Amino acid sequence: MNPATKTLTIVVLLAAMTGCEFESSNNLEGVPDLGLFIYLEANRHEGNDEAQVAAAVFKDAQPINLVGGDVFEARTETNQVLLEKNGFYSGSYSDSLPVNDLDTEIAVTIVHEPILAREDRWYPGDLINIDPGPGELVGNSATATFPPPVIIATQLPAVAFTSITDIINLTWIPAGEGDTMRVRTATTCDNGFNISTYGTEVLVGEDDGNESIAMNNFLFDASEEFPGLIFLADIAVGMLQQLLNDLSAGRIDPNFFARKLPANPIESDCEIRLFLFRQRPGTFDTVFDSGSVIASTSSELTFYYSPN
Amino acid sequence: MSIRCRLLIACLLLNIPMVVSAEKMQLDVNASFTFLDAGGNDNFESGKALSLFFDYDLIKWLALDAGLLLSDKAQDEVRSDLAGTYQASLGTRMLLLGVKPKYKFDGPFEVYGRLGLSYWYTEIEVEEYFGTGIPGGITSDSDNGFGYYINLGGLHNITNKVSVQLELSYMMQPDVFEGKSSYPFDLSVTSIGIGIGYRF
Repeated sequence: MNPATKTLTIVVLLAAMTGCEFESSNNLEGVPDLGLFIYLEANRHEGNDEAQVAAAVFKDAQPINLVGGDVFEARTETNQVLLEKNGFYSGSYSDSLPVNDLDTEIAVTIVHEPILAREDRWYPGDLINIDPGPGELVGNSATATFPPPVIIATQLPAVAFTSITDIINLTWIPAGEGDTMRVRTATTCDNGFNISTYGTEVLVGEDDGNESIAMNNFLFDASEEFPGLIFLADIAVGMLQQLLNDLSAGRIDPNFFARKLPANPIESDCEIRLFLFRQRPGTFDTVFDSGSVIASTSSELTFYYSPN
Repeated sequence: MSIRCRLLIACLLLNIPMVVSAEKMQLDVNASFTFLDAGGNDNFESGKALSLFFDYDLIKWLALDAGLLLSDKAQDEVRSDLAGTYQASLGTRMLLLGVKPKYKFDGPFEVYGRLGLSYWYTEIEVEEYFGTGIPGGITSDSDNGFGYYINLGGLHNITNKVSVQLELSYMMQPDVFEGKSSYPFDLSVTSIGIGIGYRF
């Protein structure tokens, strides 16, 4: 475990032991201090006819607010949408883009749409507006290709897991295209009095169709000094939060992953929603000095843990 | 020019066929608080308006009603969206023509209503800001059209000629900016006002 992860783990543990709420940041991490940086993440979830899309541009680590009619437009072969909502991260924009089986590539371009950017106003924004003209970022884009859909083949036991040393044999149909696989979970634990919610991540690695994962990658004993699991962080938080929002029609706690841990997971009944992601990096225009551009597909598996 | 002459000219301008009879006319002046609703995510602060009505009794319980309403600009909240920060304000003027049914109690009290068509002129002004280095400004546009109004009031006769009144009003302007914009809206103006009436 590297020093940064160890420090983070200790902080989380202390917060858990004292019943405190762990303050999570909504700043996108990993943005360089200098230069123009673009962030794009798009995910298609199994059976969902919309892709979750989020994008942002940072200049010298500060998010750039697109104003005056400049806006991110996400486009596939058949559909397009303006990213009109505030994303999970400060300065990011997000929305859901309708997709169908023909859509394999997604491009996010900064466009100047002074009327569409004002269409939620109560008065005629097409008639009454001050248009400052296109900003300097208009025309720039990032592109990514969705990897093949994730098809989980795991056969779950009929009863709940009872120990955090139990193993779940996660199997899926490999695509064989060299993509990266990620497991991310959204866990809810209830001890009868309190409810804890948090997320973890498991680095699966290759798209080989099989991974045996111990339950202690999802559950932990809050009284232990080093739980030995990886809490969901960075870009993954925003995308999974947006996915949960879409799957629950907005009924999910907007701070689900803020690691509120009043119930010790190992002593609680837990529902573990496992999301298996297949990720593929994309490209961005040369005007950007660096970026994080990822398109992914995902599928979900839900299982339970009951220590009693 | 006398008030009576001015009213006569006003009525002629409004194309009201009438034979002036001094005992059958009434002039009302109301000061109102207005509450505007454009039907969307608007949230106007209350505004102020001044209205002037001229009534001509057709029969004992029914008068011809003609009026004019002038409102100041009511401001919406300062809002921010994808495009920037903005504040809209809206002002309207209306010419009103309809009927005024009324019922006089035995005492000094009377209740009445007003019902008719309006010709409105409405102006929207918008102030937009985008942040440092990007020029903002103020812009406006206007539209006009026909609508309707429904009022309900009660008055207290102080003398044979002078009364004070309390009046509730609902005025509807449908399809404002229809034909000019892809985003027309219906504007309702609800108001409560007090005023003075003068019969002559």
